[in-house]
Amino acid sequence: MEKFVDARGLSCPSPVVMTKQALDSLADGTVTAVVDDRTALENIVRLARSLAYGVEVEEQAGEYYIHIEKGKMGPAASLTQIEQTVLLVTSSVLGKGSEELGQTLLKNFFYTLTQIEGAVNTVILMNSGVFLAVEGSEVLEYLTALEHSGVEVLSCGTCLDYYRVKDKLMAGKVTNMYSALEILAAAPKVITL
Amino acid sequence: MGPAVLEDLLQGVELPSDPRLLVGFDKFDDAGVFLLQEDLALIQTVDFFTPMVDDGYTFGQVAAANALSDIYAMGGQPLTAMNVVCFPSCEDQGILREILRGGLDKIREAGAVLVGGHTVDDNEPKYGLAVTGVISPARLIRNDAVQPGDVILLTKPLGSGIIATAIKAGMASASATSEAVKWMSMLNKAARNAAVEAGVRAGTDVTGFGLLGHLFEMARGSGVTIEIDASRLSFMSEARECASWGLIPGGAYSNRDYLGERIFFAESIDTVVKDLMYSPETSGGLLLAISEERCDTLVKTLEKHGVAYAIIGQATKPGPYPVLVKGGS
Repeated sequence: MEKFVDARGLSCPSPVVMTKQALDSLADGTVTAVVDDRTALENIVRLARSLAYGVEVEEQAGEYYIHIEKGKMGPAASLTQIEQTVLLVTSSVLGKGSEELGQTLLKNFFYTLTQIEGAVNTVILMNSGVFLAVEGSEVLEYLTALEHSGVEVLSCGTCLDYYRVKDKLMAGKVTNMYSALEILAAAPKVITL
Repeated sequence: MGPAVLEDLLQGVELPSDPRLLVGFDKFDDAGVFLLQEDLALIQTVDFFTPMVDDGYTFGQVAAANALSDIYAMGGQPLTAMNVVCFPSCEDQGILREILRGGLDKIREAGAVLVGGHTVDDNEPKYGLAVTGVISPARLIRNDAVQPGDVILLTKPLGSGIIATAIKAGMASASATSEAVKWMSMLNKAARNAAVEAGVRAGTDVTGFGLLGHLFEMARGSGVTIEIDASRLSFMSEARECASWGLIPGGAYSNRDYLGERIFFAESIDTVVKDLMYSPETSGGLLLAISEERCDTLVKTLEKHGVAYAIIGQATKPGPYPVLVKGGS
């Protein structure tokens, strides 16, 4: 079963209420809700996560398509059982050597990452690594896709300030050393690029 | 209006400067304070908003309690109030009468006098009060006077903004609704009396900027860091459930986006608790700071006045974060 909820132009809390009603009316299947404001988007994602349903978000021209799969466990519900893997990226290229090759490899790395579900849970970007999440980045679409599948993408605030690109951040959230270190220290596995 | 928009609007505005203006709007405090004579200052505030409950009388009570709270949050006593009303002329005027009756009952309970008001024809109803009060300047409770070591207390539980959203969504139970209405329409009068009696000098009330927004203003203004133990917070019935269902007002997200990195959360704090801490409160409780030595006195006076409270944290010397949130949830 598939249901479609068009909540464009409606204000809080109508979009989340309509989505909940659609989910309640399905035994299992998919509900796709379309909204055009961020409050509605965040509210519906919270609803889906708290019910432990799988949720994916697509953005198209300022509208958000939220696909919620009832009957499929989402990342939020199983979060405590999964081992948290953190990817720490400290550069805008992968490895030492040719810069051109380094860029290609990094792009390839992130593309591959989007294809392996649950490979990492958090991505932390530091130093020139923050350029991956700012306007003009070649891996922006992959980072956004990772974010939509539940991966937390965090950019170092000091680094964004240093490179003067804070206002161009296009994916994820800003973090600080304190939080980043807490996440790294708590993670059983850290991949560093 | 969110704090980011407000700050942006005030950029470049030439702020009034007058030695008699003790608290102006540059401090993001609850009300303006103007010195009349050495031992007497005037406190003025205005606050009005759209209905969050269906019942007109209840809405009137909540809106009036909310407006009066700004006077109490400064430690003052309300003297006079004026109705601020927007109401559709085509709508049943009986509803407006109920709203005004609710407001008037709260004004009376506060010991203030209704002196007039102003009505505008508007499609969306709005109601509130402009309130004038008095205070002795030496007893002023300011949001920028927290000292390192001060204990932080909060009266009233959190959750009115979330429950109000759930009421709009038709998803709050009757008991959760009546509990939220009880808190929202409760005057901060007894809490203010207890605070003044115990000699509190630093505090504010929790309203639109949410608990974290108001804590941030206090910490920034006072030059301290405030550490909150989230496990000490109390929430209204069903507030957690409603937050987890995504029944969160947009203001919670604008508060969160404005505060950004300035709040540090321990890993143990879950999204539901964060959302409740960011969420705007309607007619929320008083957030009070008092030295460790005098904390016992405050606790005793709060209990004597029958005020529900929780000790939620402590101020420290300024660290890298103005506000830290720790503890289980």
